[in-house]
Amino acid sequence: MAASQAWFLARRAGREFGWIVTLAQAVAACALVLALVLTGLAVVGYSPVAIVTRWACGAAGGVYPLTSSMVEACPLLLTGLAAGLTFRAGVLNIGAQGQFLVGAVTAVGLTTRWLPAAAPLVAMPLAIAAGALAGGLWALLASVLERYRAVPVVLSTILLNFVALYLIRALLHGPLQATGTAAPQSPLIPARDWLGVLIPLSSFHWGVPAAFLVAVGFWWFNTHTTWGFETFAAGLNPAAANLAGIPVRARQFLIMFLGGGCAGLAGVFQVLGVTHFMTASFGDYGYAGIAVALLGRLNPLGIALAAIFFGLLDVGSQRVQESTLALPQGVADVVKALVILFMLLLGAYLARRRLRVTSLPDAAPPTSAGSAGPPGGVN
Amino acid sequence: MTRAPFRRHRREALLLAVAALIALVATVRPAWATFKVALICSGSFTDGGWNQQGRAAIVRVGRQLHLHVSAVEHVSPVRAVNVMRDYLMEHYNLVIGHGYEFLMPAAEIAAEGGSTKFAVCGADQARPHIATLAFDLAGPSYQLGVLAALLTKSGKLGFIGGQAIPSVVACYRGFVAGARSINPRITVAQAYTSWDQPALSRSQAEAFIQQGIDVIYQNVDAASRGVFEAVRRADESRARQQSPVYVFGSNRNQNNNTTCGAFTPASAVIHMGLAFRRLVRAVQQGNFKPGVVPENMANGVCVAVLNPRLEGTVITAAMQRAVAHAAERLRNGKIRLR
Repeated sequence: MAASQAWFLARRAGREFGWIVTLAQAVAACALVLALVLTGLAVVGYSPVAIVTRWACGAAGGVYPLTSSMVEACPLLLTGLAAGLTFRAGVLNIGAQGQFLVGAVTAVGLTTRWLPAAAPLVAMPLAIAAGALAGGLWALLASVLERYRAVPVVLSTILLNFVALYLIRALLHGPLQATGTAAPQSPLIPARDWLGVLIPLSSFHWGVPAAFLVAVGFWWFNTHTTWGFETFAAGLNPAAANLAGIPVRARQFLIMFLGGGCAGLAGVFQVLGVTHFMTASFGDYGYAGIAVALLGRLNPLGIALAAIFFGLLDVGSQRVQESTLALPQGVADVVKALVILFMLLLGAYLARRRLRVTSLPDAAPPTSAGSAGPPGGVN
Repeated sequence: MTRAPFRRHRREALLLAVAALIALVATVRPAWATFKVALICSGSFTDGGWNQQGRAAIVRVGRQLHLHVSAVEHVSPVRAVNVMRDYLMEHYNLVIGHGYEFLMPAAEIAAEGGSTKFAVCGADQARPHIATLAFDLAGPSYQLGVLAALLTKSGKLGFIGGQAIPSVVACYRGFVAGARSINPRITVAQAYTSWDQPALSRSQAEAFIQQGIDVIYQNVDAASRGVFEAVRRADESRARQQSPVYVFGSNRNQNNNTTCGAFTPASAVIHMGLAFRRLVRAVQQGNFKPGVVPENMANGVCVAVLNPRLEGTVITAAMQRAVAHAAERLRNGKIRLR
């Protein structure tokens, strides 16, 4: 009886505190990567201690570095959500970059061309709503293509990224180009439409906390709503979900729209909160978002942590570069790639180990008359 | 007993110590007195063109003038504001944004105050508090156009740019004007590919060569390798009776590139070091003036450089005279390029 209870308690703890395993995995991966990178840096002649100190202080050594890291994490979080939510629903949305760009350019167009003389606090909310809507609709295009023309979403979203990129280039050479210059860039957005800064002399705009609230909202949606459960079920096994009466296609459309909206919102926040204008080279947060989503294990809260981690890495590496240590920017990218790789490897190893343990005969749940059946359902 | 000699020479010892202290202060430069300059690039320091050249120039100027130099690569306009603010907070004396895309972020940060001076390369607009270094390769491109018109057998020229930005479009316009000053019927095809995709620029160059274009002027930085490879392949496969295909370099002197140096008669070169040195000096002496600073043929920053290995063979004496004549007319203001 006691053994049976202990087994069930352990199973329950495993389910409810699985994030501890993931966190331990992340810490182990970081430690391994750090050791690897430090050794590599020492071998090629850099001072690992100086670099790590500068990296840590530059990313989190005070209010200003921390706010910079959070500002950097904001678009990563939203594009990570765009990828993570859709992946979880079984839709391989690789188009967060295109959705990000479309959201940004919609906000720029609205504030500089269509509503340049709008009253304060009119154009900005409209731009936020329109940017998110544009991102969502851009993502839906891929779903529509799949539904009516059987074009795989993974393919159409990749291609739509290029369509968005070249569309924006055309717009920045045409109707959205700033006057008085031959450069392909938009005019400056009027200051009244900028997102308010929460900490003076920094770029910490209120879009940053808003992005984290969006992540919490999606976590709640996934864990506390029927629709959230249905999208997860549709992602696990669409055929089984269909048999269970879940409208799989409708749920996937919905989640695609929401994901695209998130990426669009990322673009809006970047343009209204940080840059206040747009050029053709507007960052690659959409692609980085995929890595963030994978590192966060497709869980909105995990994605938030992964985005913060990536933000710290990016800002820290920037500070190292700014110092005289002259570490190439590529090193930060290598670190990020290694962390993901090691996390995936550790995850696969732990999953295999768990499988081996549960398949052993003596590890099977001890049955007794009084115990309930094995816990079923999906967490 | 032992103190007596010291007492006797105490005055001399004191004088010696003071002299040593003065010498030490004179030789050791305190951190707060160091002139700090930063260069922000959007591309890679190994792009073989604009960014690599910018970094090399600022490092060289830093060594010559004993500056504390910081250079960062791969800074997108999205991150530029934060990077510039970092430098502002670290009290850098001069921050140079190496590309037109840094003009608006620089203007925003410069407006926040502080003693840091901001300059932007490659833009064509003035902004408050910002010195805009307008590198104008139109003049040297005009000279290359003259040379191209004299080299071509087909009467068809090609221009490949990384992106249609002001500095690149100026090159195209100068090239066309120069070529048409020799032969008004000459055609110049233009295409904009990418800064960092050699495969793309290579296929564009191959397409140009198939259309009969036999002189290509490229301004694509890291992607120039693709154009050079296409030209080398074309020249290797051509029969001796056919006229060869030539390619021109840009931004830095690419005449001695290892891929097809024998078919690169000239390059339009920016001497960035000269411009940076002048800028640093202006800040140090308190003469920094915001506004557009023309860096062109007149002040020797932008020049056309002929390949000395091809002078006398591919580049005949008449061609050299025509190019020199064009330079003279440009300097005298007899030719005005828009």
